[in-house]
Amino acid sequence: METLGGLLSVVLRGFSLAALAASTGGIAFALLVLGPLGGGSPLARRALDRTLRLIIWGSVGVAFTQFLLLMLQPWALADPAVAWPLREFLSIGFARVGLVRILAGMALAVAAWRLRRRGPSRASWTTVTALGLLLGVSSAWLSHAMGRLDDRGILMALDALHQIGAAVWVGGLVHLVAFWFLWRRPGDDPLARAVLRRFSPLALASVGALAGTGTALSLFYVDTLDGLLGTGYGVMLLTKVILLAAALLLGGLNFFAVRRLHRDGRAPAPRLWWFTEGEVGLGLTLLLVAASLTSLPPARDVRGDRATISEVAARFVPRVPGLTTPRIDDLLTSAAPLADSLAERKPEEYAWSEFNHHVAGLFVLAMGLLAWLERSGGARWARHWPLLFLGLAAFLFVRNDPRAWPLGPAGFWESMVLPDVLQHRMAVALIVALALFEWSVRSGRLRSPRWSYVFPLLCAGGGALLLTHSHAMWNLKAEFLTEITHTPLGVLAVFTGWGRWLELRLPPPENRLPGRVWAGSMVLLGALLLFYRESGAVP
Amino acid sequence: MNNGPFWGVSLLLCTVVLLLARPEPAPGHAIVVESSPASGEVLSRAPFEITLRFNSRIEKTLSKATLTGPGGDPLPLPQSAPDAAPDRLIVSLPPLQPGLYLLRWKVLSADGHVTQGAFRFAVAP
Repeated sequence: METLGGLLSVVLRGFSLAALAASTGGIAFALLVLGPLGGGSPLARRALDRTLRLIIWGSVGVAFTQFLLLMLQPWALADPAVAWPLREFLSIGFARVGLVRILAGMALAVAAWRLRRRGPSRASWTTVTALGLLLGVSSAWLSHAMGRLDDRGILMALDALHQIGAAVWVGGLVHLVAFWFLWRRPGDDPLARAVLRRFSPLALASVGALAGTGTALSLFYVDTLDGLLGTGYGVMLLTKVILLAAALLLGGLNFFAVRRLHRDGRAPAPRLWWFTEGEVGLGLTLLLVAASLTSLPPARDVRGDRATISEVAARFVPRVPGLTTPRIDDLLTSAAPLADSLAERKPEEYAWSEFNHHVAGLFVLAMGLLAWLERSGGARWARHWPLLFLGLAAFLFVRNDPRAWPLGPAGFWESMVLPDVLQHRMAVALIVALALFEWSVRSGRLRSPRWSYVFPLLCAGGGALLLTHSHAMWNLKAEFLTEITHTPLGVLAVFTGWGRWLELRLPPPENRLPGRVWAGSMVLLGALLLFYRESGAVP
Repeated sequence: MNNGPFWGVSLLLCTVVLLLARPEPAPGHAIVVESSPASGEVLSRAPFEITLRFNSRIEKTLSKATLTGPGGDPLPLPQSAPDAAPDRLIVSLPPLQPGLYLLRWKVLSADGHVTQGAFRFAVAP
């Protein structure tokens, strides 16, 4: 059973990394990009003010998420009838570092607020920089390195550099987009060009640090190719690499665009900023995946539970789906009660789940093909494809949790207190939201173009959440073999979301390629679901 | 962007999750790499202690093991030996009767992840 504590811990850690990017990354942006430009123009002053505001919010975010993480652990450790072990918890290193991070986050927020109110000074910038570095470096105490018996010092140093590199890169992109919303007047073109020119080397250096330290950490935590392909840690690492490559593709296009801009002396094209938005989205997803990685045991520690490469390959060999389901009575007779998390899953449960995935695949494949048809311009009626989401939602609502209402003995509200049932029902609610918003947009019922961004945001957010959903089972190998098929689904959902986002942002004909990317990702999503195999069902 | 209704519904659903659900620890991250007795082992003599070796340092004051005996009743166990290696949970056992035992563990790793697991072993008559 996927457990709520693990999911909350991963999501909070992901938010904490995003907040760190806004604060520590913002400090680097302010000092190295905005600082040298001086405060001569009104735009430069407003840009610095906005950056400081984001730094304040980011610092408060780090403190708040750290506080929630500190609360989560004693909550999860306590027995139902016993008080939280707060005193013991506060005596351990993790809690003390957490308290230091809360205080540092709040202190940074106050220091940035004072800087904003009283104007820049060397002392205030020194304070802000020191606190930002403290937040970045102390992240290493929350990483795998902290728990290692050997090489702990060097691993923590590498981890601190890795996290600071990520914060400066992703945070810098966030602040660059914030700057773009300020830059409107043609007279400010030279300043915009200067900001872009100064940001390029900062992004290169931070990505270099990120990739270099990431490679070193990967070589330590993933000892062999089997470890990379046959463990959850290895697969999530590959996911990070794929998302990073996609973000760097957009970044690379921007890098060369900025060089041409400097040469030609023209105003920055809107495309440059829209690519940056896509990069921000992929960067934030990367932070969530990085948080998910912290909840998985490093590949080198997983020995007996490693899947072989042939077992992994068997997951992706297409097989005609049977499209047959066990009878509900047979399933209820063999399956353990809903709340028994120790029970082994029975063959009927695997077959039930496979059928669910296959039918969901038919729905998604049909939507992807119809979306492709609509894009081709030859079939206007195909614009109603989002309505198929409603059929998918109804199917999943009935079939997701067969031991709960309406098929099983557990009542609707009784089963609602179980985290996985609740998550499934929330997912159904989100699918209904997807259907209603996107259909209303495409059929002209929601006329404001802003509503059209709901679909890509929900897709990208849902994909990111799927990547954090670690399918925690008691058997690590079974957990991994389930995860390996869900991970590409998450990546494709993220590509669907950000592809559609870029299609909406870019003018024709430049939006054709992202349009093909998102519709193609949906088709692939459907195909993957259609060929899905449960770990217990593979011979 | 005027997404008020959407974000409102999302916030409401998230609040419901937090109010209704108790956070169960995730069975990931800190994993048992070696144990005595081993998972599924049938022992000819009752063990005096249980040793679990993890892949990570653990916080012993906040980590514990519980044992359920053949009758289904939990057996009282002391805290882990504090002087054991940083990656080990060592718990002394009371005299065990022959039968099937379920050992559950819940640990806090040094990097702040609460994880849990369980396995069975048996003492032969």
